Amino acid sequence: MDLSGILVISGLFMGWSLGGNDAANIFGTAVGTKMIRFRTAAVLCSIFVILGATFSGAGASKTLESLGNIHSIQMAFIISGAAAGTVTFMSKRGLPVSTSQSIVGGIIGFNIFVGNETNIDILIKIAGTWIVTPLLAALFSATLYWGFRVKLDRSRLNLIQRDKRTRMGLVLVGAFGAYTLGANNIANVVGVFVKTAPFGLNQQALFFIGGVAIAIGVMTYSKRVMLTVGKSVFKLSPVGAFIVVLSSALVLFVFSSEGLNGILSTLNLPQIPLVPVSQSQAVVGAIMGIGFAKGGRNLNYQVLYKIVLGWVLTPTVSIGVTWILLWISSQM
Amino acid sequence: MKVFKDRNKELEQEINLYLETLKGSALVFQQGLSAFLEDEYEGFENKLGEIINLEKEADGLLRALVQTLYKYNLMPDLSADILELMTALDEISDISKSVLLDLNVEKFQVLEMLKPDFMRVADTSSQTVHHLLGGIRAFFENPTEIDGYIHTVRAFESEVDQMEYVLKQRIFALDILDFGLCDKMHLRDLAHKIASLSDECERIADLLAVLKFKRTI
Repeated sequence: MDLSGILVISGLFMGWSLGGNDAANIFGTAVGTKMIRFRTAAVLCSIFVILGATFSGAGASKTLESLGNIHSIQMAFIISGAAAGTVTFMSKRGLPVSTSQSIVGGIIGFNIFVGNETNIDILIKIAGTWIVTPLLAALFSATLYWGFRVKLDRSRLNLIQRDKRTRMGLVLVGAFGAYTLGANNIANVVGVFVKTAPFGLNQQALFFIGGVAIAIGVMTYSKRVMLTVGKSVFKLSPVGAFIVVLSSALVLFVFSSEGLNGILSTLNLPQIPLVPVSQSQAVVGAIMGIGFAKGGRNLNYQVLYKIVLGWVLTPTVSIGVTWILLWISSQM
Repeated sequence: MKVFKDRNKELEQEINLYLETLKGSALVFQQGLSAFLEDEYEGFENKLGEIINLEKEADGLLRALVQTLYKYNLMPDLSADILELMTALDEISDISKSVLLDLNVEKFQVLEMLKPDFMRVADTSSQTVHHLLGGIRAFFENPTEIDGYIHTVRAFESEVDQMEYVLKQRIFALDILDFGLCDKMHLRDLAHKIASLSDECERIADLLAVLKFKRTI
């Protein structure tokens, strides 16, 4: 009996880690400020992350597949394991790290090791989206902030009723955020296993399993992270949190929606590259956007510097770790 | 069913009721003092009973809205500030009741010539309360109007301070037989107690002036 399919476990570990850490970006402020209970957030996040991964994960995954031709499950295991290891290693040292950038580094490391040419056009597109992600999130959040501020100032909505609507809004955008997280980041979790689909699973089934791994991460590991994010450096109001989550979710949606690309194609407009992007960096960009909209006070430029550092450091470390692990595996 | 009850609406109603009760106690305070000064003792006794009930009712409403606010975790980002504001407002009904009780117990001898001055201080102090409560409502419903109410409260409080000072000068300038220093000091105390209502309103208005910034997103 071929049990090589068990090697998909490295991807599932990546999924668990993603769920544990990234759910906090979606519901962290809402849970930390006690607008929503953790249990509600965890259940919602889990359901919608699985839905997003299963039904909308194909787009971003295709881009990763075109970056490297991973022809064996053993290779996929090593690449995914190396990426997960890079994420864990850098996170523990407080260094900026993105799962998306790590997996791309892993695929490039694989290409270098086997002597395959990396598609530079695809790579440039991917790198471009990394740069665009926080900027686009900042643009969305600044625009939404101004819009909400004008609307709330003009409306005579009672503060207490605003609290109720904000709470409902946080639940809805949280669900949307979880969906887009699943849709955009499932490629990081099991994208490298698509061509070597273990146990004869089709792509959608593979994405479903990856989504479940993310959901388990949310349920078992995200509470502490959510509560930490909720009390973190930049104190957001509940409406501010709503804007940040919505903005970052919109960015992930833009970079994972085949439907949106279909509409653009129909209108003869340029296609948006469907690429896994960093949700954490989108959130940071969205928070910065609100900061700029408020006049640019109290902005943490150190965080921006760390993001730029991450663009260079993460894929570089991942390339190195992947190459080393592949080399070790080839000697065995 | 209880689980589907709109707790936000419940809190909104409790706060509205609380503010209405405070508004009522300020009005009863004014009417009670007027009855006392016009020697309408039966009317005064009725108003005294009314204000004692209103003060008790206000305390009960405050406890209920605090319970609702924290039990259902409503407005977690502003709950501590709202609690501080609502608790501070309780002083208004306490002071109103306290003044009328003191009138009943201490049997102030207010000279006829001073009654209009005392009434003016009471009326203006009451106006301060009405505008403060307007500012509190604006905090919840229309933040652009908060500043207007705060300025009015401060203006009225300054006016009450001025009236109180002039009244005290008139009291101590009196040269009447059988109206000695202790009678004058007694009346001075009464003037001060009535004016303290506007002082408390100004203090709460200052708190409101800070809290309005937390209203923004």
